[in-house]
Amino acid sequence: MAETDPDIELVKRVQAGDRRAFDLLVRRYQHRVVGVVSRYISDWAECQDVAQEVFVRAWRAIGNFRGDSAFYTWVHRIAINAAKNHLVSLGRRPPSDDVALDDAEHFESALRMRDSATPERELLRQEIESAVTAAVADLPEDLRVAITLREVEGLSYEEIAEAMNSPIGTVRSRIFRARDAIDQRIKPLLDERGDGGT
Amino acid sequence: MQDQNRESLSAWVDGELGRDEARFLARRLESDAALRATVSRYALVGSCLRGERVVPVGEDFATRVAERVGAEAPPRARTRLLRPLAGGAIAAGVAALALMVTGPGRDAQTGSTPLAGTQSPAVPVLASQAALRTEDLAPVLPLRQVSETWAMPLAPSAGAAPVELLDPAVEAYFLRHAAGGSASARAGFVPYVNMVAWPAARPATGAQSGSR
Repeated sequence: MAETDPDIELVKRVQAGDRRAFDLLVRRYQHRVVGVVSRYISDWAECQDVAQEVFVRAWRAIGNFRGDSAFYTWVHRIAINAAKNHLVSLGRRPPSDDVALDDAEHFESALRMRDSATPERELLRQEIESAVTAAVADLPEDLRVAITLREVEGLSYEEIAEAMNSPIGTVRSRIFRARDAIDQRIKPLLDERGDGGT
Repeated sequence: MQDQNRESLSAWVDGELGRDEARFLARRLESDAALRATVSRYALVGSCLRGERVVPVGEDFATRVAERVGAEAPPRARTRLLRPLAGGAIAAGVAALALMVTGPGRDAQTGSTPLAGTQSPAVPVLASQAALRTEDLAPVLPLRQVSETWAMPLAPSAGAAPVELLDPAVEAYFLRHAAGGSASARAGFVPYVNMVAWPAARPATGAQSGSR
């Protein structure tokens, strides 16, 4: 079995003109891109427009993406530039300093660039976070350990199998079951209020 | 949507899906909107677990992006065919610049363009190609006592014939040496500076000054 980085495969397909593949890239990173843009742009409608523009720019420029960095690192830079340019176009001064990729997406370090999306959007975000936390707490230990080693520690399936003294197939199944259990908690929240209308 | 597809999707998100399974999943994703929506939620779950700052968006976000991208032209991959041409153009430019600076149209010693009628032979004769003669080993400049040219009275007596201040051969040597030095480095004499110190410029009491 030869595993491949899904982003690399998707980028190759997009560079060949596959719009479906680009849709998958959008879905993989839309929440994070909107999170980055929302640090610069407070208005929710503007934030969404600019975030969409980020992906349109990525589509236009992806022919030049050589894979020297991770795809999201590249998109993250586009997002910051797009958000700053938007502020400049409105006559507003963007923040003089950028936020490092590692810092920008963590809650504690984000205080100086406070998210100012609508209260409804902020409430949804908090609810999803709480749902994820509660779902993980409710998981059986083997599933909780497997999903934590994968998502938090970033271990490969092989490394997790070694750490948990389990076959790789079992690890794959545990991670899926854990992920699916968490997904069942957040899906209703998104279906109910995640239409972007707020 | 079958659990098997979602499990494959879970492994694909982690980059742990084999190529064959990945191809099958890719085809499945093209026709299964619910499975595509799951991609977004799995990504959201991962971001929340890692403590990343995310702002959840609904299904309509990706739909609107797809609409906008649908109106765009396909992405143009950077053509690699022009790369060798660009490299060749740069190399040609450097070569042309080198020819302009040290090209065959310039005098090798002075670095200046030779005057009409004074050009060197088109085909230079290499030293190794010429037969070595005994005279070649002899010094080119005749040996003379310094006093013959330098340590002579500066103020010639009245009625005396003008003194020879510098041997023309020595002067020519200095000129060639200075020219070569200035061509190869910043140091050295300027070629057009006359090396000869005329009687009026020499100090009255100096015995051998005025060599520059």
